[in-house]
Amino acid sequence: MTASLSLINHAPVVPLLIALLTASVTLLSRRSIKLTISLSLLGMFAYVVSLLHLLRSVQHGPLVYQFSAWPAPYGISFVADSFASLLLCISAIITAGVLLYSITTIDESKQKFSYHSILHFMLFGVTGALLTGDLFNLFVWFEVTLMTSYVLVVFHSNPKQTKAGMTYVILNLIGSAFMLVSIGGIYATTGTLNLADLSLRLSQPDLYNISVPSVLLFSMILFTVFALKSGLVPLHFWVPLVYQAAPSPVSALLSGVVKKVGLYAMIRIFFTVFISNESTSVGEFSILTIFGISLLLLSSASMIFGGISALSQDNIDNLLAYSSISQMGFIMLPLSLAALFPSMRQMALMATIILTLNHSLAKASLFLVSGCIKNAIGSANLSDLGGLSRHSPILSFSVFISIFSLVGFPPLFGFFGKLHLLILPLNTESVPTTYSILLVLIILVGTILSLLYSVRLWNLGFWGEISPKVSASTFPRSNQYVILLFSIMLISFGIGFEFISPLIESASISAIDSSGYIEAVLYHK
Amino acid sequence: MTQLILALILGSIFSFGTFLLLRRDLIKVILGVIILGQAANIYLITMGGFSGTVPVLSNSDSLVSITNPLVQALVLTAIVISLGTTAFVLVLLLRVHDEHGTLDIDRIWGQL
Repeated sequence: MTASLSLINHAPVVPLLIALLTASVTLLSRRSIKLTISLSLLGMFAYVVSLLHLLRSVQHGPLVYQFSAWPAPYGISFVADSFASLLLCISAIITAGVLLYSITTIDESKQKFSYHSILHFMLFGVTGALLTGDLFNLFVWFEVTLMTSYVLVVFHSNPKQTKAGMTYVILNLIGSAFMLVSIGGIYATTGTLNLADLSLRLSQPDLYNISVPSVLLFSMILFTVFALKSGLVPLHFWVPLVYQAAPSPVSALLSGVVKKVGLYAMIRIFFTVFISNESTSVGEFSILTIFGISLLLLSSASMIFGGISALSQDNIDNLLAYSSISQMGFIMLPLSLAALFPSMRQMALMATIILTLNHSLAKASLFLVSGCIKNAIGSANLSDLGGLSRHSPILSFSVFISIFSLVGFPPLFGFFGKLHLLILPLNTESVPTTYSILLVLIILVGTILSLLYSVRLWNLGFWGEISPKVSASTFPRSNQYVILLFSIMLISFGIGFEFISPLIESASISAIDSSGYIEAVLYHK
Repeated sequence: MTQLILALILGSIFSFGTFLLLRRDLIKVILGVIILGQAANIYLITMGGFSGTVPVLSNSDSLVSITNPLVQALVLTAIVISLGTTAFVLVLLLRVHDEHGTLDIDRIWGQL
């Protein structure tokens, strides 16, 4: 037993343990705020380093960790592939930035109130959700992440937050009940919860006596739950409410990290598990086709609706929240194309991953800017702002880079996402011409809308005359450097796209490599 | 027969939870959410099937005669999670009542 244990590569559980350990020690060291902050920073640093190490070691194939060395379908497996590791790395970087920002902006007395501990517990949940190879385990990690996000949303405990928190909690509890129903149904029809085993059984439904129509029903319930968590239209209404009420660093985390967990789960469940069922179909369609058509409708609706709503917002947080809904549409649209057209699956996944990373970085930076503005001026309404570009150039530079990376201007990182997205429908070999014209039109309208609300944010808030409220305020320097860091990453990822594209490419390959996943989990050692 | 009865009971619990969820009183909404969660738990238990005895292994039993213990383990986990979230949501409810003096959803969310 000891010999076999020492052979197992422990790399996949190291980040998880670091997050758990940091959360525990920051909880225990609450008496001294200085000690808490230094432990929290140390833990964050170790977490990022362990993830970078994990990302490097999974480039040659997924790493599998079987808890207590129980073999795959019976025990709980953790699977780290390059897709999950890449998303985790970006989440870690964003959380590290948010942590640095929080240390300087949130009152010490409030930080003392286990802020650091909750933040690390959230990382713990996110790590588990992205690495687990078991459907029920995914539910549990979702709950861990959500539980911490409930607390963070109501962290300053004012009436506005209580209301938003209540909506958020109730919606997610309903979502969890539905997720349980779907998991139970999938277990009853297929007889397994291990994702790799599930994928294997679904590839031969007759052999395992699986009724595909029931699996389709439960997969659609799961889809609805994930759509709720990632805030797609028509399940988007909690997004502006929560993002506006939550403290700005928390909004940055919610949009940059927690929302992406729903997205990751959707990709993992549909493109690793249900993909294997492609050849057998219900009536005319396979599960993946029905998923693709539903997602295409929802993502186009999100793109347009989010864009139009963002245009009329006066509050920066509301504008960013609606923009987040619209950007989620951009992120999901290539996914739906990937589900519908197998020939361009990998290209589409690449577009999704680039857009996800870009949105996480840009939106986190924008929410932190909105936090800076709220702290300095006391309001985040565009009508109170004006002339910020002359008043605080560093902050304005970050906003400029972030919004135009979201829109997709070269040479910023977002440009490559939009580029990959736009060439998908033009692939006329697989997409019929009328559809491709329609798709290009939707993408263009969505992009023009995001350009319009970005320019509006820039013109009203950052150009023009310096408003009296702005001239009376001072912006502390230290927070601005953290935000600047995100913008520098957006620029350098764009200019040095050649250097990070291999990482994104291998992530997109491993996201759709169902047989490789099965092989790694079930037959490795 | 057991299955039919359980299906009917489960259906009525789910519909009762949904009914409460659509009320104007916040405490009823929360009760509805809790009932929905519990209905999901009971449903999860039924997914293991009804044949067989308690899943306690002894030398006399053969392996085939026990029910599926996995769903029971799952439900135990789900119950623990719902305990935590229920406690949190009830505290939040108290807070809403303190801050607004009412639990009428139209009056709290209407002034948004």
